[in-house]
Amino acid sequence: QTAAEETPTGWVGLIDFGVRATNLDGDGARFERYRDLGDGLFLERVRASREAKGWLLDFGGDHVGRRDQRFTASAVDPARLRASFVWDQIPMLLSRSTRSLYSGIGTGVLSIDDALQSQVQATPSAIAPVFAQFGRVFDTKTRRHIGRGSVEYSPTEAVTITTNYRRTNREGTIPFGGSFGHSSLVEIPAPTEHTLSDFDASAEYVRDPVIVRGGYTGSWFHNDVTNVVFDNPFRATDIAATPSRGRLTLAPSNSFIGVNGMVSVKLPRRSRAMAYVSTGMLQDAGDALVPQTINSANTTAPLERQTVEGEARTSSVNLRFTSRPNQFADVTVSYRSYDYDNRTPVFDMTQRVSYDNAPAAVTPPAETEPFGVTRHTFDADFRTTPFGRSTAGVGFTRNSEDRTHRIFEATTDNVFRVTFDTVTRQWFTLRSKYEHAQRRGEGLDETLLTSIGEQSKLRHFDIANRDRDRVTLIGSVTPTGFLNASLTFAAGKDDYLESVFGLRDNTHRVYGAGADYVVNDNASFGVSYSYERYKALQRSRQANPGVQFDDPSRNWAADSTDLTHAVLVNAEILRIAEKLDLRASYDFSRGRARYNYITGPVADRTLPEEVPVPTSLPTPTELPPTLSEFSRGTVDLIYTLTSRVSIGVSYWYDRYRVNDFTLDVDANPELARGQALLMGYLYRPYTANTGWLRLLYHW
Amino acid sequence: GREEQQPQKPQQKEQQKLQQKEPPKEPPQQPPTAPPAGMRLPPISKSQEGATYVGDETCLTCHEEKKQSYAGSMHGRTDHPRAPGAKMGCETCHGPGSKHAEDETIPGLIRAFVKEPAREVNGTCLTCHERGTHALWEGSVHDSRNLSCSTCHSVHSFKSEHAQLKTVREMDTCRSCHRDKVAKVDRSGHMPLREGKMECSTCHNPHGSTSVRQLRKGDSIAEMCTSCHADKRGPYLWEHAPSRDGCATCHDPHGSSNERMLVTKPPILCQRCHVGTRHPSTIYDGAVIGSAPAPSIRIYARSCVTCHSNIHGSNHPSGQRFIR
Repeated sequence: QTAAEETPTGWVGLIDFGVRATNLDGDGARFERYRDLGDGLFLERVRASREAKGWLLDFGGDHVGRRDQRFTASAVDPARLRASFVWDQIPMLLSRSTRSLYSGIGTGVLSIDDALQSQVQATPSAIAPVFAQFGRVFDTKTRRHIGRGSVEYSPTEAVTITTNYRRTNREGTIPFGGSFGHSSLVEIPAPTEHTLSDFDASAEYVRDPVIVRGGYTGSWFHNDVTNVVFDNPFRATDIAATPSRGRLTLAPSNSFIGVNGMVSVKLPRRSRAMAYVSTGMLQDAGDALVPQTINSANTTAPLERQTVEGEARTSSVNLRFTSRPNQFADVTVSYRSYDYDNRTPVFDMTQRVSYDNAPAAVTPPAETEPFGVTRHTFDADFRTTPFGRSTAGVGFTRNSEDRTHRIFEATTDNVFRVTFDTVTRQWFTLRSKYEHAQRRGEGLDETLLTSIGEQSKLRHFDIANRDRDRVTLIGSVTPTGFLNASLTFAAGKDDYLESVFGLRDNTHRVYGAGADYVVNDNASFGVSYSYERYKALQRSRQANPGVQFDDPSRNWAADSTDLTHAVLVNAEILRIAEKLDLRASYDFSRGRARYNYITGPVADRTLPEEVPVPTSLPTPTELPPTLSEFSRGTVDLIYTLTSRVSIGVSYWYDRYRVNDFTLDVDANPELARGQALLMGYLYRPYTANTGWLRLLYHW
Repeated sequence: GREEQQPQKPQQKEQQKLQQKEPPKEPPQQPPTAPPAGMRLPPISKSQEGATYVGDETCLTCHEEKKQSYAGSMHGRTDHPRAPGAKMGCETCHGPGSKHAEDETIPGLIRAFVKEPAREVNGTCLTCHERGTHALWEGSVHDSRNLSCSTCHSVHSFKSEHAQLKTVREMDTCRSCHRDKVAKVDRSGHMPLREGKMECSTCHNPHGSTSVRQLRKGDSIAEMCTSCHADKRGPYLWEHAPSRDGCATCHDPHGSSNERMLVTKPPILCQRCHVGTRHPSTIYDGAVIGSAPAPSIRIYARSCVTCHSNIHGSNHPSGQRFIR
């Protein structure tokens, strides 16, 4: 007889429900960003499971009846079949105080009363009083509804067939820029109405020593609204230079279809070889291109073609051999390639219509740049454990990338690393790694920069020549089975050694410490602290075309520093008094950022070949530092009335503080001013105190 | 007679009561002293050579506290062909226990995984968990750093609702090593992990994958991100190459204090690649922020994406600068 045969076969489960209320001061939208913590009755959790005729049945519900509710169901025949279903709702509440003059919010046509447009056109300064009088408050939010089903069927012990289907519907509005000129700032509630359907299926055959798998994946994205037309709040009639309406394209509908296959073979002496291949095709859905402009005062040249004809082929190959014949040798060698072959035909733009204003001839025509990339990655690692539990390793990675339409035709990143890990029987663990990487580009084409008026010595940091050093240390001590203390440290520097302009370097330092103490089966405590510092230096030149463009005295730099402190404390004391359980936690995270402008030479970080030149720029006014601080404390008390019934009381404290020179309320004292009309999606602080009374019933 | 005279342990008394209340449907079978031919079992330790299998009843005589977690999990199933319960019970993983049962004071006569090297622990688990999402464990990053299955999972003392993790939340398991990544979940710009709508394993497969960074879907970072954010998938008429090359160039998927999880604030972020002339090259300092007397629309509110709103790519015929 095995233990499983004693498993009860009736329904077992629990229901957790009650009433809660929140006292909120501040931005309720951020407090409820991805959740629904509304006042009133709640049904927080329902679980029910049973075993019947060899089937394991499970049902679950979370936040039932709320906007973030989730339901799960599964039926499992352990020998053959697993079927599961999930319904999940994810709200994203951005603001409850956004305001707009537009009607038709949520659709692809955003309109403003013609009379109001005319009034502002006649008197531009009227935008503020018009907005104050006629701006309507609305929620800026989206929600995802996700239905997901999967079936895993094993007709024999060796064969498993898996299918998954997921359908995600997202709808709502998001803030979006919709300007009408260089000095105009109009924020619109862009509609989000799309559906994503994913289906994948795979068959896996496992018979020692071989695993063979083949799979298919299909993903179809359909956007109901692929462009949005929005009235110009500052103008009622079209003129060549300024339209009364604008039109923006939104996300295109598309699909991705792929197939893949894998073979993995177990070899003698604890070795395994694996090969994986995949290929796929990404396609635009073929929707017609929008006309150049919606401005009736302008006539534009016919387009070269009427659709995007977007298509890209992807392919990937992955080969891996790993062997651990004994403690002295542990070898892993792998090769990986990935190809994104963009086959979208080049499109010539002979006229540019930047803001639905007057078209400008583009001579010679500007061509689209269908970006493509091919990556080849070779990895080799050797590790050995000569004594006890300490493992030393060396490794090498070579990552070669060929790209189209970027300033470097190809880059090669060589990475060397050493690792040292000690995992003792119980009381001490150390994992350490040092990595040095050198990335170098080939086929530099500075004309790609100069042809668009860019500085020729700018380097894009994601592909620029770079030296990288990184070290990580993770240590933990477990002097007894009940106490664990850990320390972590990470540091690194990226040096973009030839980037006269652009990101010059960045560094990071991370320190962490934590301890967990398990007093006994009923009591445990944990505390954790981490400090992170990220610094980056980037360089630029404030210049207009002409003499300024080549004047090094106009150089400046931005020195960015991000500091974050995070604290986590938790305690769990079961039976703190007879029949009474206590759980408490406190999370704190404070992020500060400072952006310092430096004009003239930058001490210690000026390139060796540069001649320091005194600045001719005025002394910049420093930007105010930013602050983003979260605090959250929770206390839960559960009192057991009977073996089936418990009652509970909980208290949650949430606080968010923010200073942000671009997005907080102080930085945006007026939503309508000059040629600007904002919606008011801003950073606002909040403090929330939430009380819960709950009843838990187990059956 | 001598055994009956010995005082019984409390667990044994409880076990007897259970058996009296709920007699087994079938009479207990004598455990086989050796596994049937063809049954796949993990290797046994050298000190166990020559030992025979004694069955769960014998194990539970002393290890009663392990019963509940074992019986309530898939491991205890007798109807799952790969479960220990359908094979040799406790001894499927711990090896034949006759020598240990004879004298439990001699160490090493039974496999205790907390004392074994990772490769031995993992070899045991992989005997059955060698397929599906675990098929790529060998040679994966976690495998190469000597993590064992029991670093994250527990067979007998798990706390999570799924996957038998040692912590209630998956995120807390990952935090024990990836403290900096998990800490970012508490920043103002974050994915809905702390709200319970996502987990680390939504994007990563800690058991290994064919993609980079142990990503679960696709063959690149961009393919992983656009498997949910398909509105950014393109292909566009006008591509913004860095966003196609990798979303993490501009975004930190683990969270940041900046809007839309950007790695730093615009316009600073955009000016890392756009120097050029006119407005990209300008210092937007404290004199032109929104609260200043003469603010610039290029720094307050949405900053650069006020105008360049289609920054991931545009299908507009004039979308070269991502304004339309």
